Amino acid sequence: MLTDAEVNHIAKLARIELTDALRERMKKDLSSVLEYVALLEKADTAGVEPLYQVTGLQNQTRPDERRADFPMDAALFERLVGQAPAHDGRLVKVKAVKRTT
Amino acid sequence: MKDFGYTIASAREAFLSGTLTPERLFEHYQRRIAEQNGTLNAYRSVDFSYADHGRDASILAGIPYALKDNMLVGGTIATAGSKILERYVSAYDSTVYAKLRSGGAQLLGKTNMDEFAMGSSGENSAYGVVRNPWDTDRVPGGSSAGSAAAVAADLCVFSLGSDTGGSIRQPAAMCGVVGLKPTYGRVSRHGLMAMASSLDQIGPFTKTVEDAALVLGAIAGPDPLDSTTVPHDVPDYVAEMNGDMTGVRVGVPKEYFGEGLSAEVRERVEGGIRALERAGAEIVEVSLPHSAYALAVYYIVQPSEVSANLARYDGIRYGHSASDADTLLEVYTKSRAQGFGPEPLRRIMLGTYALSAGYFDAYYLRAQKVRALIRQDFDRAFERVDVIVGPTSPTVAFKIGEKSDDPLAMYLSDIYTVPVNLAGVPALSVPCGLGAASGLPVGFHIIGDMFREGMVLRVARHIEHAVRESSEHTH
Repeated sequence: MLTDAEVNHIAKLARIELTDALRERMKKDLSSVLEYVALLEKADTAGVEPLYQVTGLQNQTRPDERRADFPMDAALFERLVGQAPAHDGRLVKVKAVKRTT
Repeated sequence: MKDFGYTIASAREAFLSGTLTPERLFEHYQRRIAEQNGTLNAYRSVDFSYADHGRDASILAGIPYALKDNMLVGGTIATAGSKILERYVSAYDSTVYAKLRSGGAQLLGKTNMDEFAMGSSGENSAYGVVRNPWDTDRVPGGSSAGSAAAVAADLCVFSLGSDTGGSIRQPAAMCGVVGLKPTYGRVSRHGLMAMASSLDQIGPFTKTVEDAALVLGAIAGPDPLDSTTVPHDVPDYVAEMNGDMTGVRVGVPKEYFGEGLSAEVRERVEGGIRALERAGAEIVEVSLPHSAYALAVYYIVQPSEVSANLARYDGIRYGHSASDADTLLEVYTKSRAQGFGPEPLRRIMLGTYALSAGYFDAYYLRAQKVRALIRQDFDRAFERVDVIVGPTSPTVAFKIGEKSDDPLAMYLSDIYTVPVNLAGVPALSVPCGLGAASGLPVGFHIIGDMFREGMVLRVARHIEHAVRESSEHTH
C-alpha cells in the first residue's frame, strides 16, 4: 500500500490538488493496480530491447518553411490564443509564479 | 438479429434510384436521434446542419455519420467527455473529419464517451452514462460508447471511434456491430485528442463488414500533419475483402480461451471458428505466451503516456481554469483537480508514479521490454498464420454499475484487445451471434499482421455470412 507521503508526492508532481477523500481513494486504487502490475517482475527481459513505438519510423521531419497545409493566419491565431482564460493581444497572461506578500 | 436500418450500400442505392435524397436521410436520422437520445445518451451534441454536397462520385456522398467527441471539427465544441473541456471550441479540423467532409459525408453529431477515452463501459463521461440499445440497464462498452450505441440503435449509418486498448472493438462487441482498429499509423491522428500516443488509432463502427472496408478506405493514408502515419498507399479494401477462405490460415491462441472467458462467449466464438473451417480455412493452434503480461504492460505504458499528454490541461491556454487560484501553481493544481473526473486523475497519477525518479526502470522501462516480447509473439505467430482469432471481450455487456467501484475488474474486460494496441497490429470485432444465456451480442475478434486490414476484413466477411445463414435457418 502506498503511504500518504507517496501519494502527496505523486500529486505534487502531477500538479493535482488533493482533498483528503481523493487522497484515500487514490491510495487504494493506485495500490491495487501497482499490486497487479508487479506480475511483470516474472517476465524474463534479459537482453530485450524496449519497444517504444511500432512502425519503425524515425526522425520524420518536414522542411523548415511556412506550411501550406496548416496556415497560421489571424483567424486561427484568435481561435487558439483567444481561448486562454486571460490574454492580452497576442500574449497569454498567467498569474505570478511567486505569491506576493 | 436486429434490423440495423441503412448501410452505406443501401443508402447509396436509394439515392441512385431516386427513392431517397441525402437531405431526407439526414432529417430521418435527426428525428430518430430526437426520439431516442434521451434514453441512450449516445450523442453529446447534434448542432450540425445539412450541407448540400452535390451528387459527387464519392461512395460516402450524403451518408450521415457521427464522430466521437475527442475528434475536432473546427469552430465547434469538443469535450472528450470531460468537464475540463466543457466550453472548448476546436480551433481546426481533424484530418479524419476533413477527409469525410471532402468525400461528401454528412456529420450528424458528436458522440458521448468515457472521459478522455478512459473507460470500458461508457459510465465515465462527465455528461452522463451511455446505455446499450439491446438492454438499457447495461453498458454499451467503452470508451467509444456513444459511437457504438449510435450505430447499433440506427441513429447514424456509421461512426468513428478511437481505440487505445480496445475502445472501438470492445463496445462494438457489446453493441453487436462491426468495429475496426486499423494498424497503428494507418489513419491520421491529427485533431484527435491524444490519450496514449503510441497506442491511439481512429477507426470505424459500421453495420456491415463492407461498410467498414469503405470507411477505412476513406480515412486511411499518410498525412503530413501526423508524422506517425506510414507512407503506404491505401489499397482497395473492398476488393481485398471479397476473397475466399481457401488456404487462409487461421490461428487460434490457447491463451485467449482460458480462465475468465464466459461459457456463452466461448460457445459462439468456437462456432465462428468452425464456420471458417467449413469455408475452407485451415485452423492452426498458435501460442502467444506473453499474453498474460499484456494488461500489466498496458496499465504502465498507457497511464505514463496519459500523464504526459494530459499535462496540457492546466487552466492556462484553454479549458477550465480555477477562479479561486492566487498563484500560477494553484491555477494548475486547482484547475486540474476541479476539471478532471476520477479515472483521468487515477491514470495521470499512476503514470506520474511510473515515470518518476527511482521508479522509471522498474515500471516504464520494464513494461516496454515486455511489450517487445508481446510484439515478438505476434511476429512469430504471423509467420505461420494469416489471422489470429478469438473472443473480443470475455463477457457480453454487463450491468450499469456492476464494475464501477473496481477499476481492475473493469480493466479486465479489455484483456484480449489490449495486446493488439501494444503490438500495433490491426484488429476487428464482428458480431458472431447472441449468447445462449443472455441473448446479448458476442463479438468475434480477428487480428491481422501489420497493414493486413484487407485479410482481416475478408475473414470478418465470412463470419458475417455464417451468422446471417444460421439466423435464417433458425427463424
